[in-house]
Amino acid sequence: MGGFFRSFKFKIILGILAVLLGVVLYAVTQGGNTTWLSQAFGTVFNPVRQAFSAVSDKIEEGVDTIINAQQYYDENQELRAQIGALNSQLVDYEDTKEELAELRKFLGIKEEHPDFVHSAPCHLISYVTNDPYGAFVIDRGREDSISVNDPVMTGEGLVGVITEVADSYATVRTVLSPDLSIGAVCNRTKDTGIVEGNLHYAADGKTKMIYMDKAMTMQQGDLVITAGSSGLFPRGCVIGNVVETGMEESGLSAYAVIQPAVNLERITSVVVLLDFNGKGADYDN
Amino acid sequence: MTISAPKRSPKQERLCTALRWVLYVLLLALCYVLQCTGRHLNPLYVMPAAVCISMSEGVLTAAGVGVVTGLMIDISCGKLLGLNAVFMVCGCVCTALLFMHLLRHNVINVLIVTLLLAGLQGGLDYLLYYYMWNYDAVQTVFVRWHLPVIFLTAGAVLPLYPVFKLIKRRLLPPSGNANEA
Repeated sequence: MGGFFRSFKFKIILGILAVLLGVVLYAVTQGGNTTWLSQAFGTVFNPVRQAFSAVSDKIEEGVDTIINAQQYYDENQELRAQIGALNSQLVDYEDTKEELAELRKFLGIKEEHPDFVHSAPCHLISYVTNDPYGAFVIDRGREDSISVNDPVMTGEGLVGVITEVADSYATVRTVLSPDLSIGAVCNRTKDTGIVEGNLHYAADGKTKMIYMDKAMTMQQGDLVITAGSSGLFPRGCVIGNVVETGMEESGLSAYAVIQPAVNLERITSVVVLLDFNGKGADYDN
Repeated sequence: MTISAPKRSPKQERLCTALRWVLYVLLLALCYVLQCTGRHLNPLYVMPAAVCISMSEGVLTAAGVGVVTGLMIDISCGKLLGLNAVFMVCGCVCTALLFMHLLRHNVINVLIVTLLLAGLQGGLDYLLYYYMWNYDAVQTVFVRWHLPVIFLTAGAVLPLYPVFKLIKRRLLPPSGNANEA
């Protein structure tokens, strides 16, 4: 065994380790841009990963339908009751709509988000292996003008942000991650805070709004949207709904637990915001 | 103890070596795709595959296998490129040396070595990506993610070892020369 450490092979292995350390240092300096090696791997394996993910999703769907059949039946009955209640509210809707149109003439409220520039719909290739925050890979990248720190969303709300981009694919970090901080405001009470993932809540698919004033009046069910103050996200994107509020252990600020509006476990396609009004403030991770 | 096949001519030997490595590459590719599939906890299939290959190969070959499988883990798990490669090179070289000088070629030893490697890799990942950043409730991620992945990865030896054993039985040199002295 002692002879091995004096042998030429051991020196070769040391050389290999030195090269790999160089690769690590090089990867650190890339700032989110994938290296050519990762890109080659991704280009070759992503179509296969996509196919396997599709098969896995089908199997999961089938198993889920069987296991949760009773839950879906109960949910169906509940939704039918809700539809009945909503139908009765429709009677007032047209009157309210006319009134709002008149008010808009006076206040100059614009149509919702005319300044957004979207990418084409991006499909999910696969989730990042064993990531507690549900990060995933989409099938569009630099060739579609996507760049690092671009917001990602669906019709239901904000999903996350692009953290790594290659020519034909990109990685999305979700709102469950503690590495993503989003300036947020409550739509009803205008209480402000920072939405930042938390390992404890991420396990249940929830995130946390922190640094809120102790006198905040948010309640369960309130809608939380992006504040748009940092330049990283546009104003008014739906993040989610409040499920719980409380005081931090320090007693200095309040917090709220947020259920994201987007079901992060069932994403199939998203869009990336390439440009919007107010984009461009520095973003510090 | 090495697994060996009946005597062959040099040309047959070269053919068997080439076929063996084609099968290794295909199995590694399959393991990589399987560990990328799905939303829930996945074992790192490439790790037990790397151990099964390294146990019957020389130290340089094991180092090469470590580089490839380490890079696969880095890319699939979204980690810094090269970090797991450095770990796997050291792990595979140690595996090759252990099975060359100390350990018998059986499923129990492969299971133990894989469990050790997976434990060290999981511990390193937890330390560098979660614990040192002082996140709230950081122990949650170790209990709910890293520990199950470690045991699942070790468990992945059970379906993979018989496949690699069959390949080696049919395609290794008769004298077990894949283990360089």
